Amino acid sequence: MGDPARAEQPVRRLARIYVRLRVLQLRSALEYRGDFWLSILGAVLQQLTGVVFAVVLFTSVPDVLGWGPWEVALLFGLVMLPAGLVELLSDGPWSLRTTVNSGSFDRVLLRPLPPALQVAAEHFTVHGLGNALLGAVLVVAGLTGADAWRWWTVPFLVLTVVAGTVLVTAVTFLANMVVFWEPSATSTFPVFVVLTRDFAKFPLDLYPPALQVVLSSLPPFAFTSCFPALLLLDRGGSLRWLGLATPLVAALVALLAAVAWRAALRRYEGAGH
Amino acid sequence: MRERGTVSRSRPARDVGRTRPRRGVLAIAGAALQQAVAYRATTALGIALTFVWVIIQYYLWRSVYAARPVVGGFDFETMRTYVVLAYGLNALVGWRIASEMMSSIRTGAVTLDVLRPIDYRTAQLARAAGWGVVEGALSLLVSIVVGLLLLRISPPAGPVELVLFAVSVVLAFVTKALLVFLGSLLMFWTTNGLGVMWSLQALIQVLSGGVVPLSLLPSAVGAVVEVLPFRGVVWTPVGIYLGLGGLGRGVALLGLQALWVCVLWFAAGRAWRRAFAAVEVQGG
Repeated sequence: MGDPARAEQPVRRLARIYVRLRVLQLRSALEYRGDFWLSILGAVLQQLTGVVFAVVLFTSVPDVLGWGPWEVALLFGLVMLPAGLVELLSDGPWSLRTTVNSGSFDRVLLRPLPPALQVAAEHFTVHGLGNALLGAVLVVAGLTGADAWRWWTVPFLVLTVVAGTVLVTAVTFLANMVVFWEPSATSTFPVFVVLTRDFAKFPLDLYPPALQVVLSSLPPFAFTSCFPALLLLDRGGSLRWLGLATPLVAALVALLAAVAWRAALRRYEGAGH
Repeated sequence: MRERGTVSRSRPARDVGRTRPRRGVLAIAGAALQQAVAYRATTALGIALTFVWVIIQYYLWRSVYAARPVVGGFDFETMRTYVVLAYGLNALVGWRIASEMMSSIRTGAVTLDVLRPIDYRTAQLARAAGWGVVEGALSLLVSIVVGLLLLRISPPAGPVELVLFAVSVVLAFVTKALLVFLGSLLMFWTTNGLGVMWSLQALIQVLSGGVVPLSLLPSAVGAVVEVLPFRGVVWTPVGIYLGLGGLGRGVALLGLQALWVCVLWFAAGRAWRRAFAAVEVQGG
């Protein structure tokens, strides 16, 4: 883990290995053609329940606190797009509970690759494709409907989505790392942590101040959607400039996850066989 | 030795250290109930999990109603009540019955279940009932108590409505358990449990009125959804609780709900026999 030789591995080589692992898993997922599409359908339908709620809401009322259907669509998209990308790129932490408890995490530690990379690449969750696509459609539809495209929109979106993906990945790792300290923990705790991102599908000023603080800090999902959306839609007064902080926040959470990951690896003691 | 013998003879009725096995359906329900109690944290967190949406919806509707008194015929108090009850009713049947059925079908363990001298469909319902008594009743109770105390939801429309509501809740439980059962049978044709389960969840959520009151749907869609079995899971019991459309309508809706339970029960039996013909055990 703290092995200097391993730390010096060229990033390019690791990136290549990671991509190959991804492609391998995509191919194995495609072997089961029916299952592949069923996964995507399930994920899209699941996300559509939230969309149905929003659509029905906006057929009954024109706006909520000045946010119309297109603005809310943008928020939904900004939550779903990074979530989908995380499922596609690094959904492995979800199996930590099983591998740590069964002791098969030993194997991860023995291979000559950084454990975090192996864990990140462990799964290929096909339904992430559905979420990411639906999220992208909602972002584009929202920005078009709200007539909010400007010359800097695309680069800012790319930056925000990449940072949001890093942020969600780090939070997913952090939430699932609980297993190293609390082996009996079920996956319900991480699911709960990650589900709080649903709050960020609606404007932040809907919630009481205490909840707003929680959403911008523990975990700071508001930075993936609410704050960047303020900037994109040119609203929200000076609060909008927090939208620029998304990469910084993502870096901080990633740093925290890295520190916790090292502590977790030191703490891991196998399953005793 | 002698002394111990006399002691045990003096208290013959009490089995020490061993619970007497119950028979058939009751045993299955009992075992599921014990599981739900044993994994307390899971059960409690499972209840908290979906509460996220109750909070979101509460604040959302609050700001919507700040600008107008009525939306789709509902005032804020009715809508609050709706959101809380819909949540509680949805939690009545969790997804453990689905995930257990799916994994047993996937691994082939289902063949053992079939060998048992008890109807598979009945056994699954009994298992759902065991979990439901703990998870479902608890979350329904928690949501009603939290709702009444914190969110100030309205009490039942009247004592008769309360009784009808209780009956309707039981029917809602059976309706959802049967729907989940039917959906889980799809596992005989695919290995992708998660995809099936998510699609099923989404479908039941929307069509039962778990996401929005069915009266808010566009009228063409609403007219169809009003007669489908899904409404029995949320929309019918909540409507009765709120006294929407009066007592006569409540009784009629209860009849429709019961009718669908019968239809689903027979459909589940037939579909199960059909599905089991497709069983394909992987490996040995």
